[in-house]
Amino acid sequence: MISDESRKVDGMDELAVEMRSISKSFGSTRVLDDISIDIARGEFVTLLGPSGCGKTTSLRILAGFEQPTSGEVRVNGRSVIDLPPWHRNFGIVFQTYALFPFLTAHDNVAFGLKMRKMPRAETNRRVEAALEMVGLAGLGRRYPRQLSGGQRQRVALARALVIEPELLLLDEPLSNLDAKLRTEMRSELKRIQKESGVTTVFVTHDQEEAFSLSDKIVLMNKGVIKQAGSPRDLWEKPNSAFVADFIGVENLIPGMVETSGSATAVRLSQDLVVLPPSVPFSAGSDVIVGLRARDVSLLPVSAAPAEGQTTLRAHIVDAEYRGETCAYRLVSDALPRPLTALAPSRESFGEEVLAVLAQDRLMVLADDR
Amino acid sequence: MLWPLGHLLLVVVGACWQIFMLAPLVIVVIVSFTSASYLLFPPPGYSLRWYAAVMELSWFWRSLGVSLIVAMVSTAIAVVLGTLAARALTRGRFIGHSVLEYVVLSPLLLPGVVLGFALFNVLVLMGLENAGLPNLIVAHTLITLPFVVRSVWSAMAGSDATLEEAAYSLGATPFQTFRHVVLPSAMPGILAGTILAFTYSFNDVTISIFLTSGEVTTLPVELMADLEYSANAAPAAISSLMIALMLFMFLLVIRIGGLKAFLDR
Amino acid sequence: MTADMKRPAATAWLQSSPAVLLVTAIAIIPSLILLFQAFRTPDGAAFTAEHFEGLASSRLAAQAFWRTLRVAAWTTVLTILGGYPLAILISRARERVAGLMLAVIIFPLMVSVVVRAFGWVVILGPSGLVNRLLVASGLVAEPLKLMHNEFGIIVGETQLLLPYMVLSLLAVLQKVDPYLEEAAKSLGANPIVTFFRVTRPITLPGLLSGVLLVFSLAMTAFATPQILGGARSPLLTTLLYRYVFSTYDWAAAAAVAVLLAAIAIAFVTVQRLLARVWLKANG
Repeated sequence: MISDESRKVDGMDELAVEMRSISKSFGSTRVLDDISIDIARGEFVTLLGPSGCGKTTSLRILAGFEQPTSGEVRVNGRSVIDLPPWHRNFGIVFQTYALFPFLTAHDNVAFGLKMRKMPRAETNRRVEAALEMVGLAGLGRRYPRQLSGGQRQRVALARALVIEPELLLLDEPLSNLDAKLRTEMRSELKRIQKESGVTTVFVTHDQEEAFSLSDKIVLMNKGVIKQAGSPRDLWEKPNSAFVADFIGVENLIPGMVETSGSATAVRLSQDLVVLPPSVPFSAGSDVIVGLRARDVSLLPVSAAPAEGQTTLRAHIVDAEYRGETCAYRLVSDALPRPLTALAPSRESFGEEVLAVLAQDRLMVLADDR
Repeated sequence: MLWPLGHLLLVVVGACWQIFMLAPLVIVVIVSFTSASYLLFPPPGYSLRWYAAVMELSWFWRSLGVSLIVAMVSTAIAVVLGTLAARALTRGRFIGHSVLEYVVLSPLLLPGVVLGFALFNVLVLMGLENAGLPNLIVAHTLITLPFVVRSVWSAMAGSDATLEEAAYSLGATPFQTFRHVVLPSAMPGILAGTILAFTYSFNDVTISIFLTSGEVTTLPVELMADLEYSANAAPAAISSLMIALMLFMFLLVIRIGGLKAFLDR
Repeated sequence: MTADMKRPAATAWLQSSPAVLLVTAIAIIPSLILLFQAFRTPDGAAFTAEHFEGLASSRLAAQAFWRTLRVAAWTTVLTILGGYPLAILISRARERVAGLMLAVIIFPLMVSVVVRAFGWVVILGPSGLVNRLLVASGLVAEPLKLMHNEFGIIVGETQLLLPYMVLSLLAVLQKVDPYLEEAAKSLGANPIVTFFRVTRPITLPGLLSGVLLVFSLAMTAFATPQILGGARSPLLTTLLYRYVFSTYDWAAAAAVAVLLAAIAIAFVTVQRLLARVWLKANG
């Protein structure tokens, strides 16, 4: 339970969760390397990353199912490392929901309260309230096998929330749902979290999910944190090629940093040098230049490029219709890699086009993929 | 071409073997309804006289009682001990896991006559060979234990490990988790294992024959003795009753756990 | 963390201690005592191999040994002949039919050996079903001796052990990709060739473990040979029984027991080794 005493201890106690220098090895395999995460009370934090990046292991360490090889975990000011899961009071929603098949939905939700020896009347009241909050009022008598995937998920959520946990942990809870249900549950989840105000840690590999739900995203890869920040931070200022790639920056072109006079530029090929707004690398460094497809616009070959714009001749090799827009795959002598551009579908182009790169949107990143 | 014929041949061969499997059982049941005084097949006429005769036999009721008591008590003990042992075995790989596995399943390893004789030998050394019921119960617990362990182990291993984690996260200690989650979900397997253990104990003759004494014998042992002496159809009637009981148990196990209850090798 | 999660070995052994104690006291220790006695002189003074030598030189024992081997071999062969067709039919049949066929094969396992052997007595006896049919149809002049000899034992043990072979083969057959056989057929192999070249090799592990199991069980069966074998055709197991309860030669009985136990353990060991080898070879 959230205790008010801990809030008065010192200034740092606004943090609900502190994971400090957590490392974890399974035998000789290092799965987590010096991970540190801070989570404020009521915050919705997502651990995001490809499979094997260590996000689930981090969650399990937080839950108490795994012990870190080194490091410290504090929740609401007190260390939980030596606390077994049954004393931690965290609500967990598993990827497979883990509903007890031999109990009704009502009894599933009541389980945690029963373990806390709550009297029957009070338990029933709270269970009814929880089921109503997740939109399952009246379905308490059903068994898990009689419920749909989405309904089971809601029962799992109700079960985790009814115990009024200090933390809500969710391990890829939406991945077993089909696309439409997933977006529905996503907004449900957000609403419920805002209503209850519980500090939440969410694990997923789906970047869209992470961006729409979180206050803060921790992007991980191969056991290390790549970037942590608000969704906007990650979207606008990815700090490495991996991050850019993960959040969907379509064009990642290798280049080398050059100085010409007072300006720092990046040479992408013999014929093409670009001037990104900021190049935090020294001359001679190998870097990756990132540019979103929608920041590449197309002009007919005959058009006159405006002054100061980076333009190159390119050749369309593929076009993917996406409704409002069309994604074009371009090949150019001036570039070592194909380029992806996004243009409104109503415009049509010949095979040869002029590709205009929005110079102010160019990102210069280290290659850590 | 010719091959539908070949397939038909396979079906016929298979059917023959299946008849072969059921033949002794079916024949015994048919013969039990004979009206003749001696064992003749096919029976000249049909009657229930042998069932009536069996009902009068005191040794039938006595040995039936012994068999039932021994089976029930030894199964009960085996279920408790076996469930605990199976639980231990499901805790992943730990030091001595293989040793534990071998020890608990070892009664299946040794031939029945060896176990029976070894036990009898020890009892004689201790002067307890005529103790009767306790000897039988102890021996039957021993031989039914591996069945229970196997059934329960396979039932517990099959259940979702995340269910236990969910229980932990909701505040259940390991003991509470066992009681409220592990046991209920393994219950069908445990029940099936219990029934199989019961039938194995009830049917046993190889070990029991070394441990019976005077008044205290099991039904199969008495039946075997009776076979040597009588040429009438009383053994057939007794056998049919046993087959009926086992058929009931068989259907019960299938109802609870399906045919796969038998397939955990 | 509680001791439970930190030291799983300790809790595990604690939980299983009653079971372990039971097995040790009732099976392991008595067996060791028997083993000990098999090598003791009658007065208990010294160790000796005389009981084993006595067995080896006894004509009765030697005959019993070879008879046991023969019976086991024949039984195994018959279970293979029956096992394959049944296993193949079951693995190809629709679920309901397969379930029914499997039930017919498994149910007899739940019936006491005594009852089953008695059934064969009625069928194979001098005035039993088979003989009456043979005599009535004029095929033979006198009833054949189908019982109280090796033939009767083999028939009885085959019916006893066929389910084990079927289950062994079924276990591997169910893992066979059904499209493998179709692929073979599309490449021109007829069903017989397919069986020998594709199906049988794949089922080899199941066949081997079935053979080991059936052979071992056939060699150590007691009730079936006792009822169907008669006094003139003892096997090792019935010989042991005779030594214990008729001739009271417990030393010889102990020697036979040790021999039987050694055979059984040898078979299981070979089976486990093969299983491990197979696992390594096939990843």
